Amino acid sequence: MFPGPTLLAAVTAIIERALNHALELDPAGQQALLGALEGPVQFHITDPMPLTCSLHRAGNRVQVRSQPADEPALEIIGKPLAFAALATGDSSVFTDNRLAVVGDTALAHQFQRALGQLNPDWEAAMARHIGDVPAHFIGKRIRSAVSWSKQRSVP
Amino acid sequence: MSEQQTPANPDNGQDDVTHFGFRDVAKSQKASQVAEVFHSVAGKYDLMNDLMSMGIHRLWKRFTIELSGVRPGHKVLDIAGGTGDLTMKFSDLVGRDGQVVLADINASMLQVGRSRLTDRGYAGNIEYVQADAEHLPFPDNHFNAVSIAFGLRNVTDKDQALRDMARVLKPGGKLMVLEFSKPTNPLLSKAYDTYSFTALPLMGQLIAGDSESYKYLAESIRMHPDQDTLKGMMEDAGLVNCKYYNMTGGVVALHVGIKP
Repeated sequence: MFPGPTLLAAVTAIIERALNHALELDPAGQQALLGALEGPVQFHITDPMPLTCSLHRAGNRVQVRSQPADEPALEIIGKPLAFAALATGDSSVFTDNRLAVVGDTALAHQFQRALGQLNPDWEAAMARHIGDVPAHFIGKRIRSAVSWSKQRSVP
Repeated sequence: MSEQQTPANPDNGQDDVTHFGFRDVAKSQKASQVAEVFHSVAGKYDLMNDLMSMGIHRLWKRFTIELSGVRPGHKVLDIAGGTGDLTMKFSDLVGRDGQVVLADINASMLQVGRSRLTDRGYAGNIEYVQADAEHLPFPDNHFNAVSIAFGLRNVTDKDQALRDMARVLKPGGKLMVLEFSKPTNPLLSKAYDTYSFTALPLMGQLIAGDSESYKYLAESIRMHPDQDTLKGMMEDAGLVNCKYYNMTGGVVALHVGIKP
C-alpha cells in the first residue's frame, strides 16, 4: 500500500509541526482554530489516491492523524489542490465547490477563517525534514498549481 | 550485560525452556536476564534508539498514536513504556480528565522515564507502576487502550501477557502491539540482517559501552513471532478485528485488536 504508514506519519508530522508553530506565534489565531476543533475535523482526499486524515485538538495543540476520526464534527472532501488552497488561505474553496462539506457549514467557514488567519509557513516546516532547496521547489510548485486551480474555477 | 551463559535446567522438560536471543534458558531466568539488558542500556536508551533507527522509531510510534483513537478522558496503559515516548503523547490526548499509566517491569527504565517526563512538565495525569506484563496489577475492564511498544518480544510468556492485556481492557477497548517483525522484501531482509548483526553491536559498544545487549536485541527480533503468528496469538487471547500494519517494509509491524 502506498503511501505506507511510515510515510503517512512523516507527512502528518510535517503538517502538525507547521500548524503548531504557527499557533505559537499567533495566540488569537490559536484560540480561533482550537475553537473550531471542539470536535475532530476529517479530510477526505479523493484524487489521485483516496486518503483520509483528521485534525484533533490535544490541549493547546493541534494533532494531525493519518486515520479517520471516530465521530468527526465536520468532514471536508476534495482534491489535494483544493486542500492546498484552503491551507494557504483561499477563501473561495467552499463557495466555488472545490471542497464539499458534510456537517456544519458554519463550522467549515470558521475553520477556514482560522486557518487563513494563521498563515502557517509550510515551506519552513517541510525544509526541516527534507532541506531548504527541495522544500522551496515543492512550495513553489504547489503555489503555482493552487493559483492555476483558482483561476480555472472562476466561471 | 554479562557474558555468562545460563543453561536451562536439563531436568526440566521443554515447556520450562524459552529463548533468550538465540540461546535457550530456563523460563524462570529469562526475566532477570532481560532485566540485566535494560539496566545496562537505560541511560543511553533514547540516544541508541535514534541512532539505530535513524530517527524512524518516532514515526512508528507516531502512527501508533494516530491509530489509537485515544480521546480526552480516556484511561490508557502503556506497558513496557520505558522512557515514556508514547506516554507523553497519550498524556496530551487524554487531558486533565484522563489517566495514563506508564508501566515497566524494569526499575531503571521506569526511573529514566519518570525523570524525563517530569523534566518536560508532564504531571497530574500520569502514574508510574513497576509491573510485569504477564500479571498486570489492574482490575478487569479498566482501560480504553493498552499499548506495548518494543516490549512484547522480551516477555517470557507472550500468550499469558496478551491474555492479561485483554483482561484489563474495557469492552470496545483497543490493544496496540508495536514490535519489530519480519521484512516482507527478501532484499531488505538481507540488508537488515547484515545491519542488525554487525552495525548494531558495534554501535552498542561505541555509544553505550555494551555490545552484548545489542546483540541480544538483534537475536530477540529474529526469535519474535512473525506478523501472522502474532495476529493469531492476539485472536487466541480473545481479541477481535485483529489486523496489522507493516511499517518500513515490515521491519516493524503494528498489531491492533479490539476487546469484544
